[in-house]
Amino acid sequence: MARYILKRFFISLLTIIALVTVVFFLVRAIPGEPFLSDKLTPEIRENMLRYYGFDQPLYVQYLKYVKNLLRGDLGVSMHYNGLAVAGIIGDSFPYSASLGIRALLLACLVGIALGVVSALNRGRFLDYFCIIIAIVGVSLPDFVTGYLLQYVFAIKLKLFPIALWRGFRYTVLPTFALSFYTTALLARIMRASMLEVTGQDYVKVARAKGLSEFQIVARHEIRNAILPVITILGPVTAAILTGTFIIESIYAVPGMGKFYVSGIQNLDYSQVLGLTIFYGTFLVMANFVVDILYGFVDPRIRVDRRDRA
Amino acid sequence: MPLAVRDLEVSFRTYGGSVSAVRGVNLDVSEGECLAIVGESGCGKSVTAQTVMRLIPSPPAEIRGSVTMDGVELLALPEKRMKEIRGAKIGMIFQDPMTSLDPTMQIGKQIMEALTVHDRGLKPLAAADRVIEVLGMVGIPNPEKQFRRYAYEFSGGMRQRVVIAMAVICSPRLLIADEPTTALDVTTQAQILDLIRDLKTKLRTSVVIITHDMGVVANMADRIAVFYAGQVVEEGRSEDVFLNPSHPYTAALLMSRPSLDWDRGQKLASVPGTPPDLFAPPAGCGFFDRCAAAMEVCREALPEFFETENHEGVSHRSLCWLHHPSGKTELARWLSGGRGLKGEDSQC
Repeated sequence: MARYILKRFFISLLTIIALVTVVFFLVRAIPGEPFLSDKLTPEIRENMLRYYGFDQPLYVQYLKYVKNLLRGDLGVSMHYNGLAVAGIIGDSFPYSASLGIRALLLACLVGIALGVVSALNRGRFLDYFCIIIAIVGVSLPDFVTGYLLQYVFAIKLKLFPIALWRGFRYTVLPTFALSFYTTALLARIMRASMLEVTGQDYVKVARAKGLSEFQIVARHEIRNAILPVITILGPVTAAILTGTFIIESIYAVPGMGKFYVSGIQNLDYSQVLGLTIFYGTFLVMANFVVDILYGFVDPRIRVDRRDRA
Repeated sequence: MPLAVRDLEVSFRTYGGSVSAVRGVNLDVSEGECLAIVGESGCGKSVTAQTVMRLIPSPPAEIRGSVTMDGVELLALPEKRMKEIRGAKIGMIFQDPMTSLDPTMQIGKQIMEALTVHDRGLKPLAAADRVIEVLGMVGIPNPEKQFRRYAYEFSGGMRQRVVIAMAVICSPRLLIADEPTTALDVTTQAQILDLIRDLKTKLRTSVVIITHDMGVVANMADRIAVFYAGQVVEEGRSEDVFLNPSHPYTAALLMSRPSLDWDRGQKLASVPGTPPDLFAPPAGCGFFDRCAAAMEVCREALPEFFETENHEGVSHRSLCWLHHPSGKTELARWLSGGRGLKGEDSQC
């Protein structure tokens, strides 16, 4: 198991290095440059470029950036004068993370439950009900779900505040809006996977041992059926985190989404780079955790040569 | 009587109509006896076994008749009571050890589950000890170490031993082995059969072994029930059935086995034709189309069971008109005419 984790860790590290490199050069490849404003005289522009080191060859800039990165320095925002990118992340990420984690947990719980209920009631009313929820959830884009929930629950029914982030009641609508798609996706995967597992011989064997239907589902079926769900948890985390941009702006959550968008609009190199690397690293770590989780659930994955004996 | 099956009929409703998989089967298994159910694929062997365990969901299956264990009617038992019988009173071994074990659960835990589900009061440590004991009994070396292993770490034969351990840990009255050796290679087959025979004596359990392999039968069975097209066509003590097959199908089956003292190039006999379509079961004998000794009556009327006696006066039953008092002349002709398969002498 230790070897497995170590191997995964190195792969993750390599991914992050590749990510930094690719993103660095890609951002520079976007046409235009940060200081293209009519208000700036050519001298000021020159000075600004020199100040940020953009007059040096690209590879020198790259090496410098990596050197700073290793010390945890993500650079300074060009747009928000003098604000450190790390500081921007530190201020705004907790909101995004709080929203994202709530949504992810909700999606996992509800999605897996829906999938199991659906599979156990195959072909009956509850199954169709869950399938309809799943299809609607997968089909509706974030911004539609977001506005719809706002309209129904905040404006018409006045059950929850319409926007902002000031306590639990404020978090309910954005969490639901953000988790809806993922819930539906997980429910569909879980349902299909449960149906497959139900037909397996070991389920019949479990029945022949005298286990009750509930014990069979709880001990054997869910555990085996959940493997595909865990596999996609990595990409799903990505989907939820990127989804926050839209949901954050609909519900005026002070998260990172706004800085990302403004960074790209203003060609704020260090801001785009810093946020992308931060997100990227976060996702790579999420995948790393998922890989390890997978090894825990499915013993066949964590085989290394010594274990095989 | 550990098991008595009476007039069992099982049919499945499908989009193509209703299939009669089992058509009026009667079986008895007495104390400590090993009954072999023999027959080709699709003849209703497994369906019968799984019906005994009530593993076939009904509906969609339609089940009629009676299955009793020690006088208790299993088919009428509420599911809750049936659960107490599965695994505890009847243990079942399935065909494919590669898929019979949960890949994500330690094998020790899987076996322990079979024990603790029937004995809730059992302490986990005591249960684990018992699991280790049974693992040793089924011939798994170093059972303490294997407890925490997973199915993928075992070979097919070892997995089948684990499956057997699961089936016998509650010392069941009856052990049903549904083609326990079909998925294994020949040497492992012999070991697994030895093990089952061994456990049968040790645990004093009755065994029903389902197979299409006559070799398996000869090795194990006290009695044989030959299945054909959802019916028992011949039933009796193994040596009587082997030495004195009285149903043409049994005779044909026995002749279609290769033998060690054959000449090179000798052709293996096969039973021509295919079993009848069970979507529309024939009015007469199911073997009619394939039987060299068939008579006019066989097409029209389902035969009854007739007793035949061997020289010691021990009888066995077969479902064939040839043994009707007035069929005796036909029987004599059939017996003298090479038993219905051209160019072969009986190998028995």
